[in-house]
Amino acid sequence: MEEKQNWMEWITTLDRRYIFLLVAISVIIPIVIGVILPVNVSPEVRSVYNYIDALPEGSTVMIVLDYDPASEAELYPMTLALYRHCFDRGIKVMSFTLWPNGAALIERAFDTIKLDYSESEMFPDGIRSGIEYVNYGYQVGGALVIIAAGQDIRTAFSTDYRGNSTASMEILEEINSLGDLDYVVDLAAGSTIDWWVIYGVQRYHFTLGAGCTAVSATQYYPYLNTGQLNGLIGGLKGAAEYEQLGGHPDRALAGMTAQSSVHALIVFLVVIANVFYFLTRKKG
Amino acid sequence: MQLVRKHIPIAVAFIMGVAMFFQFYIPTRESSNFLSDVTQWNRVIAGFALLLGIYSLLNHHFHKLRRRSPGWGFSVVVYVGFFAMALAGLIWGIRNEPPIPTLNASGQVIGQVEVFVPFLWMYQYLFVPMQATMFSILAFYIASAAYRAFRARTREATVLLLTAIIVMLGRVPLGAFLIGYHPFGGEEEFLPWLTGWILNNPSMAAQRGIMIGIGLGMISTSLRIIFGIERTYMGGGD
Repeated sequence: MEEKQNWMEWITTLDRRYIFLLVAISVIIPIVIGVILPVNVSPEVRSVYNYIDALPEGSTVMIVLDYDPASEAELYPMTLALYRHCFDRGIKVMSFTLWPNGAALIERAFDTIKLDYSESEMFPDGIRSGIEYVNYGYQVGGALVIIAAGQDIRTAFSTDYRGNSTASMEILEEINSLGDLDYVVDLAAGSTIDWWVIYGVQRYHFTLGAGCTAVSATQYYPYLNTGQLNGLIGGLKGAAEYEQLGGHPDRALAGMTAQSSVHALIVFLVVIANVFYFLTRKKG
Repeated sequence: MQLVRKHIPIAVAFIMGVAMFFQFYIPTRESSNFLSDVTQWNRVIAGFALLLGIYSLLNHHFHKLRRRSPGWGFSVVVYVGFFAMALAGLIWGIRNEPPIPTLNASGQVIGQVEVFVPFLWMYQYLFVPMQATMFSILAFYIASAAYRAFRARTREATVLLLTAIIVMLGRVPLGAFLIGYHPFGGEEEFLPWLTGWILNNPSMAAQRGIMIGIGLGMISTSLRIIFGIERTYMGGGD
């Protein structure tokens, strides 16, 4: 009887290193096996996809990368999926970041995309900076950058990431401020979506979509409900949904199996812990 | 001294606060130009704040090093990391350069050599993995904390626990496999549908309450700053 009691106590106070080991196994095995599970697409993600899909060729979309490498696992696949969708549709893309450590991620994303489209029929000369895309790099000032770009985009972003003047760039021919953009998407690891809604959408009246880490997705549903955000891509799951819609399966879809198994493990652990909690409590 | 340290900052905050408030409601070119100018001033000031942050970081770790405070070795890492990244960026640049073509004796291109950019190498192979590692460790701690602390001790805790289980399963493909049918005849699988319902209704209602509270707090704090009641932003013990 006492042995049974000890055993139950051992389960309820399980050494966390065993839990760490279980988590590691449940992440590694699905990645090694490489199974890709299809995901069901949520209306929030479909809304962003449909909006970009309906834009005419030659439109201009601003995709803002407000994150750094800490959130790369969730938000970088989202970035690539959005870039690919835009370039598949012949849409021009502008990007910048309000995070100092995010600028190099934008450059890396564009370099990856340039390789993908190097032999594309739509872009016989490849994807060119200043024509099909522009990377403005890191912009200091937080929410003030949004207001500045809403007032005059050339003044706000006078040079691109490489130091070239943006004044005569072809991509800016018909764009004077944020209000002239066909769509803006903020991919955020922090609170910048709030800034984009308050200082961007409400002042300069453009359509805004957003992407964020899974942990912060819940706080943006009120904006979806009011129409201040037209869609939301939440976490790796959202990125996987977008990859599936765009027909470019990549890192997000590949990661969903690992995420599934870890979620299942956590649910299993919580259930087990509660069962033994009640059993030990019953025994006094 | 009081004039410089107290009265002038309060007057500046009052004048700019009131001016920016009225600017929002005046749709003229002059008003718009005023906003553009103020925004540019603010961005310049924000740039100086970055310098202040760097000074503060280095100063803090300098004192830790000088006093040999516990963990002073980490301060050495801060200094090495800071100067290695900054110098590499200043000397060799921070941008990826196109590959340099290699030519043979007759001037034909026979290949290309990638340009090595030390800053980008450090960013890609040191900074990115280290930050990603820090964030990934969270998954291990969350699993351990959930196992230890997530107990159905009360009615409220039970509701929270069940909701968490539904959302955790509904947000991954596994959830759709577990309960494939929809009891209300919807097109979507049951668990993802239920997760969406939770996020779009009870969770959103709670978030909206929090946001309204934050909004009211921001308005009251702004008014307190404009009218000189809130002075902690000026620093010091005044």
